Amino acid sequence: MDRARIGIASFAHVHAPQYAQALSDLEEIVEFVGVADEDADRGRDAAERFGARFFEGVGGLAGEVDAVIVCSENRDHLRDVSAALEGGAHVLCEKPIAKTVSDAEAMIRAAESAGRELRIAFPTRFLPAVRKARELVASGAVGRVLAVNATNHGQVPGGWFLVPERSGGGAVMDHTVHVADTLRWMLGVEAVSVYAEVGSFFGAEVVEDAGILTLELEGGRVADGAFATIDPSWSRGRGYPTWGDFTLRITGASGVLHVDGFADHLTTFDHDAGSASWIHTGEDMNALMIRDFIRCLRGGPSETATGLDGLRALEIVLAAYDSARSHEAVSIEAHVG
Amino acid sequence: MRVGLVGAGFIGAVHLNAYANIPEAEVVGVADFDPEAAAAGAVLVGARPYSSYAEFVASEEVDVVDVCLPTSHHREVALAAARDGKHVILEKPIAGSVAEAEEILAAFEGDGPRLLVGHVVRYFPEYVRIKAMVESGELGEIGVARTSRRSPMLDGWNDWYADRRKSGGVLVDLLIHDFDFLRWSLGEVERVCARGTAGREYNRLDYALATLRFASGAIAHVEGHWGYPAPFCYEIEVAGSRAMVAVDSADRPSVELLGEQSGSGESLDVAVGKSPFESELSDFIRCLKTGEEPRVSGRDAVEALRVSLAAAESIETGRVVDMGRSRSGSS
Repeated sequence: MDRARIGIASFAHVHAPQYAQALSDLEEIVEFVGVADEDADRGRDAAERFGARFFEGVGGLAGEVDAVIVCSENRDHLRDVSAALEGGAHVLCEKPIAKTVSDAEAMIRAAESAGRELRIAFPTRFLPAVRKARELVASGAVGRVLAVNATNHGQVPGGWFLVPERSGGGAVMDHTVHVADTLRWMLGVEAVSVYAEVGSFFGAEVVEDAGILTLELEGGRVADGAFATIDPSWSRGRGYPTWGDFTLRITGASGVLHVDGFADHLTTFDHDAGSASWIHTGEDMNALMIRDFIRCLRGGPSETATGLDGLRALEIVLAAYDSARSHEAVSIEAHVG
Repeated sequence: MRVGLVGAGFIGAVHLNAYANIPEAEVVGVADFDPEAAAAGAVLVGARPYSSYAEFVASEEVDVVDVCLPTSHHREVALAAARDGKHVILEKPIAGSVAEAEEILAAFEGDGPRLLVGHVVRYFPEYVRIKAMVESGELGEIGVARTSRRSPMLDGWNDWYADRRKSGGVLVDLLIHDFDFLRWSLGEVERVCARGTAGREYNRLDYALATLRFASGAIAHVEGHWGYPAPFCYEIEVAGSRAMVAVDSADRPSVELLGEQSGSGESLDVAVGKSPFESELSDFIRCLKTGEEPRVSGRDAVEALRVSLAAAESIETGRVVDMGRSRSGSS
């Protein structure tokens, strides 16, 4: 089978180099064709680094590839996804799907009318620990799920992530969607309401860099009207041995499942740095996700999140911001998409 | 100081073992309505067994009464001891309701006997250090604190721990430790939102997740599990603008016995060396001798209970509880 031809639209997002590396690592099945970027210097540098071509516009790139991975700023997702779809490419879009419901809905409609796939990059679905946990939960290993205590910690990023007009919000926008999507996917249920406390403590200033969300979930086959909390805080600083974490503690009626997505690591003790650091030795979730996305493009079974999954995660985030203002739990409004 | 201990159950035995190492305290009587428990407790410290508080107080000269009874019996014995002019050491929680707690507090107002409530987490070395780091500014402005406390369901008399009406459940009996520690370190709580299994029927299982917002702006997330299918453990992490500090009791015990002799019994004395209960009780005895104020006041004990009850109210109603307007009353 021919290799899948893939390009990356924009290196604005910090994950773009990771996806580029994954595309290179997957060279047996992927041809990393090119990079488009409105910041031409950034785009040319990236293209050169990964041995790909630089394209002036997303449309031009889309015409040369099977699929485009969109890694622009959250506010530009609609623009770049639309251009890629119009150019005839399928799209894997960086999370969150967008910063507004109307952008997300427009993206979903654009993919439908173009007859192309719009998938959202929620790579934590592909963490081996998360996949194993999903199997265990489905098999009834902990009984009916009652509650999940989840974290997706990180460090305060820089640049556009901290500008609300461009990102749509801080840590809650950036990290909640990963956990919310994983919970929906693992438990097969939607969130009914969300309560949030947010704050800024770790240096983000304009946007929030800390929060605790409390979700109530609808009943389902494995979950019994469960509740969950999500800590998306950028509370890890330079002294922390790694970038952050992704953990779930799933409490069921007959057992508990501890899930640590990045548990596999070596510890290094650098004499000059004066602190320990962890080197992840587990499988690369991005490569696993891109493999699955390619399967999806070839009509195979796929677990890669859809545009609608992206919208559902965004709805939880937007309701959380309402809650943080009102200090009450807020019902989650499901849009048609 | 001559001590009489009432209630020789799970926590009573922990206190008696601690007193055995405190030369300033002499336990002269151990009362329990179960004669075997009273005798077994008395043997630990060379005291005489009694069947009730009334019986031992009539026979022994004691300065201090240490109450280790189920929570629903705290009020009765604490008030009787106050009337008899005895200092009282009361195991946490102070009571099951704010009204009872206030009644107990009122009985110890003035210059008479004193009340000391056993919030032992304030004597765990790692928690003491974290509190000091918060206070010194070493951590900077505190953003998010995360705690977890998970325990197998305790076997108490008549299974009273598992009966939420008697124990208050995981929020009032177990998580009050964390609520008290967080108040001690971060100050007053403004709002509480909690979700839990209370009100649903699960056999000997009580689980809750609570979010607290403090007047300082800090946020805390508190997890509690009764009926945890593994040994007792606790975790705390406090993230500030300058540094983060974290501890997990399940990480690397300083002494761990594996093999046939290890058994499966759980122990509250997770630290090797001086037990926090011994630190707590010897500090209480010292405060009674010198007149110094203890690390935890009666008012602190009531306020920690109010947070527990606010979390319970939030679970029951599904609403967020403003501590200034909570059903459990403001101070």
